[in-house]
Amino acid sequence: MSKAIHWCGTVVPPRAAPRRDATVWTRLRNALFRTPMQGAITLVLALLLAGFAPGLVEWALIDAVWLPSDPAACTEPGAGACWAVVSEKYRVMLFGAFPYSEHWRALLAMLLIVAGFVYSAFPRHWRARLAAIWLGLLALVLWLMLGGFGLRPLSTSDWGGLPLTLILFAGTVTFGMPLSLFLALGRESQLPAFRWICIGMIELFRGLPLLVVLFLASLLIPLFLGDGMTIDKFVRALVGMVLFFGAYASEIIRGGLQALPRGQYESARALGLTYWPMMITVILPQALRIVVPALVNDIIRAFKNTSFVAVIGLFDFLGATKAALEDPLWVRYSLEAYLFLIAVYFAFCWTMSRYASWVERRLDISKRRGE
Amino acid sequence: MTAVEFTDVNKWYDNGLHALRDINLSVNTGETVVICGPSGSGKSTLIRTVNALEPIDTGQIAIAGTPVQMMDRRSLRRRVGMVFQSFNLFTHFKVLDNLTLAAEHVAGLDQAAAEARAMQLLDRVGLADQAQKYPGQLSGGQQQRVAIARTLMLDPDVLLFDEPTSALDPEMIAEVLSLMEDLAREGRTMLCVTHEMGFARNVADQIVFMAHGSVIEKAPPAAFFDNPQTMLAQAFLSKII
Repeated sequence: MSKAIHWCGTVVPPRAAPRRDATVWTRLRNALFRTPMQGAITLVLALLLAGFAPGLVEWALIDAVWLPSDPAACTEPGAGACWAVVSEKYRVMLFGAFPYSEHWRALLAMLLIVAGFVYSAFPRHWRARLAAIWLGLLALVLWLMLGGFGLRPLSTSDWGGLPLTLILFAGTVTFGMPLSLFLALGRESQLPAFRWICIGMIELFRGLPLLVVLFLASLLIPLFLGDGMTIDKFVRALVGMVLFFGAYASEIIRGGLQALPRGQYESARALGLTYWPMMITVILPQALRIVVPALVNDIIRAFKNTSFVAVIGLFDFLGATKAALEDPLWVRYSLEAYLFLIAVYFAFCWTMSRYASWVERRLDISKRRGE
Repeated sequence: MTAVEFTDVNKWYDNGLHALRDINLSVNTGETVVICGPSGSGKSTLIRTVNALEPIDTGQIAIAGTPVQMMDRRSLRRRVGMVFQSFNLFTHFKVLDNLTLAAEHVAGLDQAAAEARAMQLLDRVGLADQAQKYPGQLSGGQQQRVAIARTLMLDPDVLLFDEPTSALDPEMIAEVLSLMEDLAREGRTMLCVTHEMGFARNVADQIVFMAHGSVIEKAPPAAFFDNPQTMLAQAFLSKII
């Protein structure tokens, strides 16, 4: 007697998953009134909102003074927000002391930088030539901002406002990224002297507040240069920003280098690749991809950090806005001017942070494809 | 002719562990040598010294008579290929680019020649239709076959296999072993660290048994499996067979 063998079992045919979607009403109820406590919080917040919102809308929109006729219009009884300060002063806020007739050049420079960032945002453009593109773009920006070759010559002390902020930002990232790569690789180098120099730089600039780095850059660099040589205040600030950004970003990149499995290094070496081909073709593309979300985060921070240069006497967007409000006629309406400044900063940072989460999802998808 | 020769090789790890102890071993051209032994016996360390992934402290390793220490890394690794336990394919490259990378950067082939050779080798391992995929889209067995093809791109004189089937699901082990068997049959010089005793018995010319960083026995498979000479080897075999 042999045992019976079941050649095929019963294969259960696939069925559709149960429906999970809900109506708008149940979704709202779940979001706002899931528990009595949550319901109570919702009600309290709704009451608060009902209390404040009408006044806010009245102030900001209905009673607001929009046109820069005369600051006196803002002082009339019952007048709301004085947005006139923005329409009167936006040129100074946005461009600082840049000569009025040349504003188109600064505007063009800003558009170039924004275009550069938009181009850089797409992962398919992440090639070594991106660095060359940025250098070319910054050269063009410098020509627009400094003049010569047919344009009226200007100096960096004429720069101000949003163009200054954006040039500092673009310069920080363009020079800071290669520096951070260099420091990250140097920190893992086999050459002790080189390794210690890199570690020293990273720890020094990570160990100091940015404000101190900026003061150091503006006070110390002239000392090293000796008599008779001066170096531009803007360049000093840029050097400080680049060193600070480079030190932080290099630690992020080092994290990526360490997160990569050792087997990637070993198989590259076993195939006969020497250090640079191995790094350029095998290690860095994978290590950088791992840390892109963290790097984007650091780049956003670099944008916000540009506002620190106001304290060493550069008129970035924040500095220019403060300067614009020194006009005694309009000084009372600094709140409205700062709200405008907040809106501009927020628009930039929010766009970048939306981008960060997009690129994170995007890389996650291609990682699933690739691994 | 001697393909690989170890003479009085010793290696210590940084923590003081004496990983390889007075190794004397020679592997003839065309021979397949299986290295076995309990874990921690120094098998992987031994084959990783052949392509200088692990440096040695004393003694000498020679490839076809030339000491490894005298060769520059690039030419050493062109002559000695290695297949890893965890495949170590470059996950950001397509299968085809995994193969062409070293051919272009190390052997100096132009792109067309490298791709032609890569397709030939992928065909040989039965994966020509996967050339445009990423490693992550392949099964473990397929990935390991790609890794073997990648190693063959430089046409090395000696092939090292470091537990090539240990990371595979059981149903995929056979496809990798049969490819290795083909390579052995065509007369390649191979040093394999593996726990696949069937492969060792049927394919190997010599079995090297290691324990505690030393070579304990070296014998043809029939002699080793049927008549181990040492207590250590007997104990090892009784556990795995």
